[in-house]
Amino acid sequence: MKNADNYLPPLMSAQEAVVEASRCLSCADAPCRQGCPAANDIVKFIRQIAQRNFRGAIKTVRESNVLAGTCALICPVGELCEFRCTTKLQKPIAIGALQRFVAEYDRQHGMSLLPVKEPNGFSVGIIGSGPAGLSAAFELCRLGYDVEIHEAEDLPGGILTYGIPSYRLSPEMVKDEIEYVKAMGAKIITGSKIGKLAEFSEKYDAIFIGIGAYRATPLCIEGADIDGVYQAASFLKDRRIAELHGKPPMINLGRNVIVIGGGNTAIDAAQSARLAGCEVEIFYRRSENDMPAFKSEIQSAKKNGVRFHFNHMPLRFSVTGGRLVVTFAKTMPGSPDDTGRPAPIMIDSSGEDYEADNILLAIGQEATFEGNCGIATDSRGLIIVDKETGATSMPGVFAGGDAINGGATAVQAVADGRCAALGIDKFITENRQSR
Amino acid sequence: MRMATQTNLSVRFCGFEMANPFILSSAPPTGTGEMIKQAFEAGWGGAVTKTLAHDRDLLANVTPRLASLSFAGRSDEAKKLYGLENIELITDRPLDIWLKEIGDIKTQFPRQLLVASIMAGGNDRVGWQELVRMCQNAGADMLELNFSCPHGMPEKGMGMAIGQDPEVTARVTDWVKSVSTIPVIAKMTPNIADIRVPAKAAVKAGADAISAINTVAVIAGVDLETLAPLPNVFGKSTHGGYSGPAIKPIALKAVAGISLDLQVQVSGIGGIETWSDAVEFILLGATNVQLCTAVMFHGFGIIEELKDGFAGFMEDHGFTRIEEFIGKSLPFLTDHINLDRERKMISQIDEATCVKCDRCVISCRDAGYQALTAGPDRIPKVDRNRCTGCSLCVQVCPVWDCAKLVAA
Ligand SMILES: Cc1cc2nc3c(=O)[nH]c(=O)nc-3n(C[C@H](O)[C@H](O)[C@H](O)COP(=O)(O)OP(=O)(O)OC[C@H]3O[C@@H](n4cnc5c(N)ncnc54)[C@H](O)[C@@H]3O)c2cc1C
Ligand SMILES: Cc1cc2nc3c(=O)[nH]c(=O)nc-3n(C[C@H](O)[C@H](O)[C@H](O)COP(=O)(O)O)c2cc1C
Ligand code: SF4
Repeated sequence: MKNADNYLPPLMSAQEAVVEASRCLSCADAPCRQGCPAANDIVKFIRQIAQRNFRGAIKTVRESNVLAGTCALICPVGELCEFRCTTKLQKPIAIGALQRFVAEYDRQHGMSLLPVKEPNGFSVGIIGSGPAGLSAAFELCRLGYDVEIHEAEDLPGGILTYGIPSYRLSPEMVKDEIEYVKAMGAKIITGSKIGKLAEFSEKYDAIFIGIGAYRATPLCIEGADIDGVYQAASFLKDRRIAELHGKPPMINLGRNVIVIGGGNTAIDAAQSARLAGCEVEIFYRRSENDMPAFKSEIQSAKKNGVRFHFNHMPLRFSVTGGRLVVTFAKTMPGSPDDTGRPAPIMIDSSGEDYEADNILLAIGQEATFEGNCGIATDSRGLIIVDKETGATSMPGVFAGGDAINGGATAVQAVADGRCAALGIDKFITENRQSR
Repeated sequence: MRMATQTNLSVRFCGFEMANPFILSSAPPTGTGEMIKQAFEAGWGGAVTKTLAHDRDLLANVTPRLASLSFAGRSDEAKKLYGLENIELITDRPLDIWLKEIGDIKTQFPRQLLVASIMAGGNDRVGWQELVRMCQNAGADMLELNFSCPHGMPEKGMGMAIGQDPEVTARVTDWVKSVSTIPVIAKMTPNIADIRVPAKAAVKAGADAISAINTVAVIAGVDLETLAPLPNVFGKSTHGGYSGPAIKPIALKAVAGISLDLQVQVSGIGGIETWSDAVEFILLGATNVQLCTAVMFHGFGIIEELKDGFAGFMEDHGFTRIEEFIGKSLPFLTDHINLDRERKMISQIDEATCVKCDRCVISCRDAGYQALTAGPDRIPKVDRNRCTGCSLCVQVCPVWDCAKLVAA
């Protein structure tokens, strides 16, 4: 069994953090900040670290991102802030590691709450307690709203709690940051699945929908319902539930596992299987460059011994001699599809067989809202919103996170939640005046 | 969870209630009324104008007028500045424009402290008194008398030429006080054996407060290609005034000395870059602080980090008002003769954090008491009988809290 500690680098010491922060050139236009979906005031928080004002630094980050510690652990910084760092003199500033340092400092010294305005008498109902819902709740609490989050699951957190494996996202950090949102004044009602939007919205002055897009896209090919074929998302959720409740997992994998897909779910499922001692191969229908998974995650999987097969598309599943067989066709890149990436074109349909004990499917996620609510959605079922305010087609109803983008990053969901909270505040203020 | 708190950063200085103790000193960042407004917009508590004078006393500036002591350090570090030398003169803008700007700023920012820095010759009574009247009529909250510019102006009997002579300092302060209706601050030069002497002369002559220090007279370096000292103005150079982190210890001693000796409010200046520098000045007796070089390097925006870190310090120590800790570190100061000679400390090296560079071993061997030796494990061992507790090892150790002194 591999050691899970290998996945997260060690936490910086205070001295390392100060030395690293002192390297920052405080560029005038702060390109790093432009690379952060939440527009984190990176120059300011890094200068605060350089001045050993760690508490001030974490407060600066939370101004724009309540899940500062969580995002520090899982943000693809190499594709966001650190990618934009212009220090050509040397390597980029370790922005993610510095943010993690101050978030841990904060947890160990009693988390610093931000100021909250006087209660304004208005209430907002939030559906979903993932990053988007938590962020919207936090911002609304700061503005003086009475906030209630309704969460279908037993525990809050969305994908942070039920998706991302604990070897790379500390469950304690997630738990503490959720407690932080509660301490700011948000009420979280778990086990409360909202079906009928009309009924729900009667109770509140405005609504925020942050239901994510965690329903796995089914793979409609021959044999997809054979025993031993699982959705990767279900496998990850099963692992998390087992850990959370200290029980053995329900899904037990055999020695050889094939993962089909190219997103973060595929990589996390592959790495989790690897940690459980399996031999793991990932098959993806496009090229490596077209994989939606974060580059750093792909590198990590390779380092940990996951084998990759690109340009392979599954044709059918079958059982031979008690073992699962997947038949793959080779593909080549065609003209760009509606995602802008070259569409995979099958080269020959005869296919090649690969054996495995289990198969994990991770071919995509969809929005999950079931209550037909009359809100405008796009062809993928994603809620359509106004980019500036997060407003949906229905007055007083706002949305953000995976539910509007189909799955991006936690920090994008945080940014959406904040944007919608400000949109809600504007909506309520304007309505109050017209009343 | 820690509840959010709102720390009160206000402080009273010569009767003026400042929103926070951070002031831009008389220097390039306060070079125009527009810049001062920008700074107030950003949250600064006050500003001292670039030194004003009668148009007849102005001299043209030269280029370049700055040089610095920077340290490239290790190859992975960007250039860092320790000290800045300048040979810049006082303002080069006409007085009537300045007076109009002072009025403008005060109308727009009545709650920020605006100090007019002024300068005239040591024999020019009329010149000083005209400046005083003009600035107070224009609406300045206070005056700062520039007795301290160390380059250019002293050659004309101004600036440091006044601050180095307690008699002239007293005379000019007296002229100013006899016509001023607003508080008067005298700005002191460190380029003198004992800064307390002119400070005392100014206070005796009626100065309401002392600001210290102005820049330290220096030569920043020599260009090894041209062999001309820096800054090189077309083949000639001259000494200049040194500012920035390098002068902080000089300024701290000046502020502490003045605070201990005189019953007067002090505005602390010199090398302040961070909230903790500011706290140190206040602990040693300053009521507020002035900054120049840090703003020249990082812009007005640093006020955010200054205020936030300062508030954090107050929160940690349970201070609710700045007045509660002004001069709180002064009682620790005494003469050397009164220090404890009985008790001793000796070095202790933390084996867990030691990086085995053995720099301390070299220092102790060649400049200490040969008390440290490193065995095959490269971790220094302390010879308790040889160590005299000088603390050289603590100073050279690159790791925080690795080498320290403990009870012998
Ligand atoms: C396996 C995996 C790995 C990932 N890794 C990363 C990573 O490393 N870094 C990164 O930044 N991002 C990562 N992401 C993406 C990131 O997790 C998501 O973008 C983010 O969680 C979206 O937040 P959200 O609040 O929109 O939705 P979610 O986190 O999905 O939360 C939605 C919540 O709404 C609840 N809900 C849904 N319907 C209802 C209803 N009707 N009533 C009540 N509650 C309801 C759900 O139970 C859930 O708790 C990963 C995603 C996955 C799947
Ligand atoms: C370029 C430059 C110009 C300055 N001009 C003036 C001036 O006109 N009048 C004055 O009283 N002090 C002047 N000073 C001194 C500063 O106000 C301040 O006393 C000094 O720089 C020390 O503070 P610091 O280390 O924060 O820069 C100047 C300093 C610099 C660097
Ligand atoms: S700082 Fe500005 S004014 Fe000074 S030399 Fe450079 S460009 Fe010119």
